[in-house]
Amino acid sequence: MASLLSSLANAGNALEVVQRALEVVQNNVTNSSTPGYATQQASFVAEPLDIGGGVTTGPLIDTRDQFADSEVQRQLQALGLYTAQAQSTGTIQSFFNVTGTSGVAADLNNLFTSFSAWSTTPDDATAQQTVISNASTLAQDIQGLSNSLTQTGQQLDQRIGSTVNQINTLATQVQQYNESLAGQTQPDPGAQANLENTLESLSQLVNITTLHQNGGTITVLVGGSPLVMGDQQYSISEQTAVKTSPAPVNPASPPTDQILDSQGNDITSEVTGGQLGGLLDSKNNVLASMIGDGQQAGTLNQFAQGLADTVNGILESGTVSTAPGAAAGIPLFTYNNSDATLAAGTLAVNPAITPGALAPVDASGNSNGNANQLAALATAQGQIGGESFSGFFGSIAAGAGQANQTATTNQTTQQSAVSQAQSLQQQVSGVSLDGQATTLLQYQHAYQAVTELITTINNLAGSLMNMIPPAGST
Amino acid sequence: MNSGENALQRITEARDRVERATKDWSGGDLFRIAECRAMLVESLLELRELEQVLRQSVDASLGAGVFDSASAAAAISAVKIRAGLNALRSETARLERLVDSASAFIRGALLLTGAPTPGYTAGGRMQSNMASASSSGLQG
Repeated sequence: MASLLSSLANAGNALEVVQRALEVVQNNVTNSSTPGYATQQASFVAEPLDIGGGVTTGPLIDTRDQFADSEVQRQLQALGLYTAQAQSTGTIQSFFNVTGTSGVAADLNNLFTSFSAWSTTPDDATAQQTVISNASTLAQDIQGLSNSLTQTGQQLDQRIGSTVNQINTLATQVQQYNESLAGQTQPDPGAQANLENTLESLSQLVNITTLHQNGGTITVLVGGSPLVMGDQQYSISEQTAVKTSPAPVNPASPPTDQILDSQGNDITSEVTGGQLGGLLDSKNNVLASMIGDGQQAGTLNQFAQGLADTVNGILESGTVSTAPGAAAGIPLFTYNNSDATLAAGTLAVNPAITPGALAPVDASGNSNGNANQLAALATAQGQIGGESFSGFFGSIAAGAGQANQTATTNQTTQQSAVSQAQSLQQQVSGVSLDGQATTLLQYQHAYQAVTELITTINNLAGSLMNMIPPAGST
Repeated sequence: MNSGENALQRITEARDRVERATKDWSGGDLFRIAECRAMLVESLLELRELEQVLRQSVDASLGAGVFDSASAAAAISAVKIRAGLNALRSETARLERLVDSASAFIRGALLLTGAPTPGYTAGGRMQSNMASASSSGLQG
């Protein structure tokens, strides 16, 4: 009789166990497209024979693989970085006309052409007026370019600020997840899916490191600074100001963006990935190299100041005519020289200049000596940064284009890398890695075969390159 | 088709195959990896043919080659071939990055399993003697 009762009890338990397993399967199916959801497996525990045998349900097994998850996060951080860089440098690049048919490059060419025309007819009022008009157009376009880049900097400031807010909002969600763990005995797959989704979103915004602590809570670090630890959140903030340490050389420069931890410490250098890393790089490095910051004048300001000083220097060294007692030349350009970063944004034609005030006569009394010197600037090397003015400006434009091209290529490659990491994450989800060493080695060998081919192709391409005669030798 | 055009055609074919290999690459799919490998082999064969074309051109005794003339056309084809080879190398660099990233993942996964992990030389090549390399750890 006892045996029959225990058999009936076992059958009842087994039905409950099957029912429980079906619920888990149903839950997996329902959540199959839930972002961040990892398959759950029901486990069965054999009951000891001395109490009648049978099975009972064990704890849920989460197939989430932290290694695969962190790889996806790592790739997302790089994608966020490159995407932000590609967008920002795309905007910056759009302000430069790479063909040189319009904008500053064309204006510069027109000014040099008008210097050349003036040098052949130094007393001609029309030629003089053309010089002033072309100088005015050039100054306006340099100012316009400077303003556009400055506005881009302000837009980047705003995007950096809103990205910091998004990071703090997501950090709050992680902190709430950690709080919710208190008193839980079973993992909540839904909450874990949300957490994983949150961490992936966070990864796209900033380079984070996640540490899984005893008790299941997650610690999130930005660089080495905590963002979330247990039930505590440490919000970061943005500060836009000219850096005071070291003492700024250009106190009136565009501000630098800094990221501060919850204690107010500058952690900008630790933000190296994600959208925030990309935006900071575009603002503090790419843009600052053009329009300056506390420590550097910026290439566009160097260009504006160098051009204005050179042209003004030549004109001021001569006189307006060869007549005895003729008036000395006056500057063609003006700019605010109180701060090196203000040159491009304030460049203008001297309001006091008139056609008759242009000085074509050089210090030696040559009637068109100055005008010839100005015309020669079109091709003269070593004017600025070892280059001609046109060459130097071309380098600024080319630098913007190159930065965008690099970021765009990186972004495209990184999108593939993210897809690959997600695919690998799916592959290992629900699989015990311990039993998969052979399969993993199979992949490793397959990769190796591809790598060998890539190396061979690269080497052969290099050899072929060497077979091509250098330019000019054919 | 003259030899200059032939050379450019070979480079274009070689680059197209690397591009397709990159586009179709999936580190989690052995079949796709094999397809990618086949594409790279085809690319390599195109480059071998290009090598033949260039070698013949360098040998002036063979007559009209790619670079045997001081004409502007020869200069242009040299520039184009150089640009084509550079583009090919950029494309292989992209694919290499993806393969490296997948490889790093698998190496990490192997470490988790406790299996002897392949070692790598300073040049990034897998060491054939796995046992002797088991202590070299992660690279890349």
